[in-house]
Amino acid sequence: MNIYKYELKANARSTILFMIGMLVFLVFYMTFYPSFANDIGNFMDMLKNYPEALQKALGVAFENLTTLLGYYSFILVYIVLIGAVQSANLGLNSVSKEEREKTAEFLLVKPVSRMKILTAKLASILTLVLLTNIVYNISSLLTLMLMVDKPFDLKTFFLLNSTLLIIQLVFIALGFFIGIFIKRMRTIMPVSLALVFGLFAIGAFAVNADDDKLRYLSPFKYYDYNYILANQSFEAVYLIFALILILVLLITSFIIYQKRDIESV
Amino acid sequence: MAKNTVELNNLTKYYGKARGIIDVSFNIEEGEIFGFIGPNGAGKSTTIRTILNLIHPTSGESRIFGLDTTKNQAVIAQNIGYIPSEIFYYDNMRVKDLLKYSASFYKKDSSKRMNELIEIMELDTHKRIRDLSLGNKKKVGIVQGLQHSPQLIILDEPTSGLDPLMQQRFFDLIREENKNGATILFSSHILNEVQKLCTRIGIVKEGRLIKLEEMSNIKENTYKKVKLLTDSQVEAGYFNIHDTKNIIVENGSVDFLYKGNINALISKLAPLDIKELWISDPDLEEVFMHYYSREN
Repeated sequence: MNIYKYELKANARSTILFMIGMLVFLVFYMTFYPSFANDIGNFMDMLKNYPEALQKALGVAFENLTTLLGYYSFILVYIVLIGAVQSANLGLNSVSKEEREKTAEFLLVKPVSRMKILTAKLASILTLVLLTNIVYNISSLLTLMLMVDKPFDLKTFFLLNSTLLIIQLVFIALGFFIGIFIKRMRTIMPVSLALVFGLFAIGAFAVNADDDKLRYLSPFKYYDYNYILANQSFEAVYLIFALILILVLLITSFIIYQKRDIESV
Repeated sequence: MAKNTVELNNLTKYYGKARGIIDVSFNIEEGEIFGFIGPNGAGKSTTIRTILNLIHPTSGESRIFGLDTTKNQAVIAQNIGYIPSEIFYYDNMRVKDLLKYSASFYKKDSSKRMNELIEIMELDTHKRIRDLSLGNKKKVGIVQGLQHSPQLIILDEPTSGLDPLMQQRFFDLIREENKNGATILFSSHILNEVQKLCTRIGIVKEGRLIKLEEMSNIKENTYKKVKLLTDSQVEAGYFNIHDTKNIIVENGSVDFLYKGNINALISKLAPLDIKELWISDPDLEEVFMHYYSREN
């Protein structure tokens, strides 16, 4: 419990900053919606000129942009990216931070098993990410209701929002695994940016290749906003795959950490 | 025979292909102050880090309180105090919070001992860790390592950064803990510290334990250093009784190493007109150099 509390405290500041970042981004782009909705015709013409590959890569069918949730899903792509960086950071940092700042020797000679240390760290990250999602869901709902005078389907809205949680869970697991697998990580941010944008780029490539199997390569393609908008549901097979991936990464992380040598000072 | 607090059986650690330690075996009995000596890179820290389960042995095993260190680390650690050579803590924390955080891992309430130690070490507990000097960090390390009154205290070159006064206080503390029943594993390359404190020593060289000896034996079984100034004429062969080595006679000064009956030496000295006389035990450093140079 003490490790859990310490970790919550240690990561509170960055979590709040990321939350603010997401909300500022959301509010900023939502302010454009009223004028955008009025002027939709011109805008659509412009977007139609985007290369088709780019349209696909962004995962937004431009005809959806005319609706509020369609427009929202377009913004959500970037908010999810911010969320991915946040959770990759948390995951990557959890173990590597102790070794980078040489505090691992302090923690690991305490009467607490490595299993419990990892569990506490993981629990604190999950708490922060869940908190981020709760705050985001409430704030984004309020934002849409207050800024836009139009009804929208709540189920679709929350399904769209839940992609943030899915992505964050996957990137926690990825970060956790990489942070334990690679020794001596000097800095976190470049690694997590490369991880997030690398996988995002792979996802963009995957949808253009017209081979659905490639979608498994990028967590950003485990869902499809257009599918959600059209069907009010996820494609179950990708969600199951995401769940399995998360479990495999986390279990492997725990196993590796049991016997891992802690680098000396 | 007292029971063993620490047991190492053929403990071996390779870092990839690089040698860490090879076949290190020794026991530390309950209540001992065991000195673990060797130059940098000989494998002292590797041994300590292995028995603390920070690194995983390649082969062999180590036991503390009779429990396998790779399997029971969390149980064993309840009663271990570890003071590393370099102290690193969470930079943003205040000393007080760090000490409390550390104490929160142990079952017993250590707040009383914490405050005693803070006083002895003259520690300012309101400072942040990152604002501390090397010596002050070390003091935090000492309080942190001793506040839960551990049964086994592991010290890895603990005095670096401490001023002589604090070093003295620290050694007094260690002796006191030992008197109260704690077993001490003291690793150092500063030999006169080990000499002052330890009851038994192990010498490591290039990853192997090359000597295990009672401190008292080391002193008994080694040569005395004899030096005298005299006006008498002394032949080099004059002191050739028992085991005498390295006689140097020069301008009325005589130097040699002597091992054997001390009375025989005195009777040889008595007829001489001696101006000055020194008979001393070699210090650990000379013993150590002896082991190290012999094989080179």
